[in-house]
Amino acid sequence: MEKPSEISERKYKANPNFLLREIGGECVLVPVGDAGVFDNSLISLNDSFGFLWKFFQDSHTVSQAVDAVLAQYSCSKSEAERDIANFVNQSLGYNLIQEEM
Amino acid sequence: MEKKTWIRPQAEVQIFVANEYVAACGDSGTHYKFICDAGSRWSSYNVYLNGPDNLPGTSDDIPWTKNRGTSFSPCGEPHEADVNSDFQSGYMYERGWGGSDSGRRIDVIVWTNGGTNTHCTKELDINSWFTTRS
Repeated sequence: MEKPSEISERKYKANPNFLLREIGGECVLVPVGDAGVFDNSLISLNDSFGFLWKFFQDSHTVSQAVDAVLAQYSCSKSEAERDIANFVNQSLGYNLIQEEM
Repeated sequence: MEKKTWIRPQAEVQIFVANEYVAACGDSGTHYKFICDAGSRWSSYNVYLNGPDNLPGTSDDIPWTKNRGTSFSPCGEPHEADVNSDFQSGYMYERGWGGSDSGRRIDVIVWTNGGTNTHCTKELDINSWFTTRS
């Protein structure tokens, strides 16, 4: 498993086969196109996930995401780094986000 | 600016599963639309059903209207019938003197509406009929 410091400089971008929509005040990812295991499903996001999803609509590094989170949310840098690294790793595994080469 | 409280990112996946009783309609509930238009409205006809060999003019054919003591004239009306209804291949002759067969054979598809009536259409390609789903 990669350490946060190793992935912090790679760039990632949200998979365009998922569209973010707000339904009933809740952020939801709607799979369109090739959504893999998420075909025929909806993905409800909490506020933090929604923030990161919007952030990664453009290609960014984990370091940049940490800075953006710290500017908007009350949390420690280590907590943000840990959670964002987990977010990236798991999202990569499900092809929700993709590494930009 | 007051900062929001950070909660680790979480996502909940809701998977939609097709209800087989709704999605798998198949042919059930599909209706054929056809017009009872075989022959002339001002003539009456003897209708026969092709027998088991499904060939017109053979010994196993069923004299449908004669057996019922009736004759057929096209009503010209559109009808809808379930695809599983009793559609049968057959033919008809115009009734001549004494109710005998006269003229040339007219091949038709016969819908008997569960054996209660006789409707005939000239459109013999059942696959070309319009269908609707209920």
